[in-house]
Parts: sequence; structure tokens; C-alpha cells
Amino acid sequence: MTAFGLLRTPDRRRPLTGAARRVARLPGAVQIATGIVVVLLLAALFAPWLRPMDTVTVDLGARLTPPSWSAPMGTDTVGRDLFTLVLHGLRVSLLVSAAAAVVAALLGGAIGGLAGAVGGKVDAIVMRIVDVFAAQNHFLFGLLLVVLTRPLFGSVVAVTLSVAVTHWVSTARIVRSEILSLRSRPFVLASINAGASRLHVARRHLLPHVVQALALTFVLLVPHAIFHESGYSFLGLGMPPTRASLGNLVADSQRSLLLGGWWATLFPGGVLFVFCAAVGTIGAWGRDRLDPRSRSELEL
Amino acid sequence: MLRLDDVTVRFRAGRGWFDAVRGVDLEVPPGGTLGLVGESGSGKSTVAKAAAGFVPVTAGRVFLGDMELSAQRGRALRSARRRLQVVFQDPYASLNPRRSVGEIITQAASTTGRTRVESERRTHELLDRTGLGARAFHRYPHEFSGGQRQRIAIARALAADPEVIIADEPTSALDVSVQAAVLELLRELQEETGVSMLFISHNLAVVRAVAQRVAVMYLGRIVEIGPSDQVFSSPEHPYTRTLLDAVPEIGGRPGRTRLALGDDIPDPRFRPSGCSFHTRCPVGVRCDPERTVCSDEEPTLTLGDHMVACHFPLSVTSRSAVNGIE
Repeated sequence: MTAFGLLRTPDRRRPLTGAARRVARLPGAVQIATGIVVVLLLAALFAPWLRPMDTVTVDLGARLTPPSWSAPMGTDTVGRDLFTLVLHGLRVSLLVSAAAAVVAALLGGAIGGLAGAVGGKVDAIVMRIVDVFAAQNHFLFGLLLVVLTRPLFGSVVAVTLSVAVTHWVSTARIVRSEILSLRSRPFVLASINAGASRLHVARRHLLPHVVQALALTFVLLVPHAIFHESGYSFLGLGMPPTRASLGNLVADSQRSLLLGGWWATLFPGGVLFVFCAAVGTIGAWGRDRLDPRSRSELEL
Repeated sequence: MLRLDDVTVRFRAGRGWFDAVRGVDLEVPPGGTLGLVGESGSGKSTVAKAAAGFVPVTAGRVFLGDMELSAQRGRALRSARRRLQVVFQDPYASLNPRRSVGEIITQAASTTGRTRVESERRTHELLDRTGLGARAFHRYPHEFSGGQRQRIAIARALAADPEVIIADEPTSALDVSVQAAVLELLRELQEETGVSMLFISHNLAVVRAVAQRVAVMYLGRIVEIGPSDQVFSSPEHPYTRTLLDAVPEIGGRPGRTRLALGDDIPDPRFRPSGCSFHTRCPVGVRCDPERTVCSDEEPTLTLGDHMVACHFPLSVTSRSAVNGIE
């Protein structure tokens, strides 16, 4: 081949299209993180088919067996298959934390949006209430809420609610400041100047920008919510023992660890850690992309 | 057309207040252009914002034709605003990055009561007229350069069929090479549509090129206003003269007397007594201790076509006196 031909370096790979090309352009860490999240989500989604849950059978003959082909993550102190438990635990943890993140994002979005859009006294009062919530210790306040609401709604709803109620604050602040900065941006002024109604401005200019910020706070909230759910379960205040969650499993495994069963701690804890780290990586990347400072250069 | 009547705009600064604009009277002639010049912080942009209703007028009134714009509220304000369009300084900030050029201009066009089809036809006309071409319709602002974006902003302003356009430093964010083209476009469009224009700039050469009348602002007040050829060739106010003298010239006469400013513009929260300019003035009390009137009394604008607010306007103070001070 001539030097000229070398310079042209023909690309023999099949050209990627649409979504695939967008993924290929992401940084490596984000690609890996996305892969991990997708695999774990699918695993949680298809858990009942992959490994049907059997909470009743106790096989005392197979107590604390190390990982093997039939039980890839070993068994716990009462002989239950850990792989099954982790899959179902992940399912419960994800469900609760995603629900909590959705509720927190919607609540925070609505309250922050109200404060930012109305402004004035409403803004001042709402944001002082936000300050009151922000001043509480997340975990202790949430714990109190779980204890108070569990008898009324059951564990799943109680944990979801407590995480949501303690975490909408940051979303509200982000959405409010986003709307405040948008309202004074020239393109919004220009649209008002061209006769746009409040509704038009809210729908065409504010909402599209706010939705992006909301999506990001949602992603950042999920690992946080998982940690809280696991924390409550670890303390015995979250999911009931009959319902495996990642926090439950880590809590239960304390005894196994003393008996030499390292796998009972490692696998649920590892899955918890890897999932949160992966979502956190995606969230951090998204936050950098949305960094308000990189946009402020464009302002007047 | 557009008339500001004794307009004052007061802003909050910490615990206190200050006047960003103070008792300004301006009139933009029908079909003509009024230039507004001054340093940063002189209140030029605040005048624009007050005229467009983006900041409330503390005192005084803004008229658009016979209608008092500053008294309109709600629905009436919305329909009145269409008649006065703004071209903003930074075309990177004044176009929503998430809306296509077609959407942006069509929305402005539809405020005049056009149907959707008519608005889109108008948009295509304007895209064609501003040299952007029909292909721009479905593209997004980030696909365009600064000069092209400013053309989009101008097309949007014209789409609403305004009677007045306020151009707030429309070329200062652009490369010099495209400034002239954008100015030329504005001038042609003004000729074709008969729209009046309030043209704000700190660039004297630009104002001279586009404006028939020019007003000079200092610390929120008009210090000189008149036909632009007169103001530029024989400035009356020492501030105007220093601004003109600060423009570097190629091939200027050597030895020509140039007046220079000391210091920066004072903080508007602590406005100097008497004439606001006396702390920097090259002919007033700072240079001639006998002229105590400068720091005691605030001068008012003289009457006539070429008005000036100065106790010692330059045509009265003889040239030798100016030279003597230096």
C-alpha cells in the first residue's frame, strides 16, 4: 500500500447509527458504568425467572456453603441460596429507591418550580421551609419517619416516603435557581418582548431546561436512596426479614462473617457498592455536562 | 415614536438605593435613529430595559406613539410590547438553544395575529431578506456563527412588525469583520420598513454611522443631545469631547489638543455633588478653582436642537482657555 493510501486510513468498521453512536462517544468509565447498570437492572427485572424465590425451604444441611456451581454466591446460615437472595434483594432495593427518587424529584420540582416561578414572598417563605428540612440530619429524620409511618403504611411505603421526604430539598433548590437564572436570560426576555404568554414561556423555555436538571437530580438521588434503604434495613427498621433487601442481607451476614462465611457479606455488599458507584459515575458525568458555570459564559 | 418623559429608574443596592437612570428625556424620531452613547455603567442599557418594560420605571413615563407603555399591564402590555422589539447584545444568549430558528421567528411573527401559514411565510421572507436562506428554518442556533445569530435576532425582532427597535449594543459581541455587515443590514431594513431605532453603543464610530441624532449619557443623565454631525464635529460638553478625543486616529494632526479623563466612572451610589462630572472634568472646578458652581449646582439641559448640560460648554469657553488648562 502506498503512503498515500495509508494516510487515508479507510474505516472498515460498520458505521454506527443513532443511539449506538452516541454511546460510543461517551467516556470509557461512563460506558462501563452504563453496562453495569443495564446488567443489574435486567437481573433485578428478571429475577423471578432467573432464580425463583423460595423463602420457606430451609436446608440446614447446606448451611454456609462456600460459592459453588449450584450456588454461585454460596449459602447463608440457614442454607438459603445467596444468589437468589441477592437478585431479589436488588429488586426490592431498586424498587424502593427508584420510587423514592421519583417522588423526591417530583416533590422538589413542584416546590422549587413554584418558588422560582412565582417569586417574591411565596419564594421567601417556601425557601425558608426548605431550609428547615435541609437543616435536619437526613438519616435520623428519615429514621423517625420510618418508625412513625411503618405501622400505618407498611415497610415499603414507609421507607419510600421517608427517603423522599428527606431528599426533595436539593431538587427544589436546583430547580428554583435554574428557573430564576432562566427568567433573566435574554432569550426569555426576547420571547416575552415578542408577546409570549406566561404559559408559553413556561412550556417552551423553562420546562425543557428544568426537565434536564430534574432528570439529573433523579439519577443522583437513586444511589443515595439505595444507601438509605439499606441503612434502615441494616438497622432492622427497613424491610421485614421475610423480604430480602440488600441492606437486610448485609445485616444478616454479620453472623456468617464470624463463622467464616465471607461470601455472605461480600456479595450483597459488593452488588450494592458496584451499583451505587456505577449510577454515581453516570450522574457525575451528567452533572459535568450540565455544569451551570460552563453555561454562565453565555450570559450577558 | 418612542418617547421617554423624565424617566428615573431606581435600583436597590444592599440596604440603600441608587438611580441608574435619572430624569431622562429622549425621543426617537419616526423612521429615524437615535444613538445613545456612554461609558460602561452610564445607564445606557438600563434606559433600554426600562423602555422595553423589562425593569419597572420608578418615575416618569414611556410613550409609544400616543400610548403610555409604562402604564400598561397584563394583556394590554403583552400586545403593546410587540410594537417595540429588542435586539440584544449577545446573540449567544438571546436565542433559546433548544428551539429551531424557524420556531423562534415564527413565534414572534404570530404575535401580530397572523395564522400559522402566514407566520411561516413571513419567517421565510425574513430568512431570505437577512441572508440566512431557507435552509436555516429547521436548524438550531448553535449551528450558526455570531454574526448569523445576530441576523436571526434581527429577523425575530422584525417578524413582530414593530414600530420601534431597540438595539442594545447589537454589534459589540461580534468580530469587527462582521460588524459592518450587520450594521448595513439594520440600516437597509430600516429604510425598507420605516422602523424607528434606538441604537445603544459605546462605539462612537458605529453610532456616527447609523444615527441621525445622538444622546450622550453620564451617570444616568443625558449630558448632551443633538444632531449627530454637530455633536461629533463640535461637541459642547467636555465629557463628549473627552470621549471623542479618546478614539485613536490614524493620521491625526500632530499637536492637536486632546482632553483626557482622569479616573473611572464614579460609583452611582455616591453621586458627586453639583455636576456629576465635576470630579473628572478637564475644564471645571478640578482645573479652575474659581469654578465652584460645578460642584455646587447641577446643570440642566439647555433648550434647542443641540442641548447640553454644562455650566461651561466648550463653545462658550474659548479654545485658548481649554488649551490653557492643559
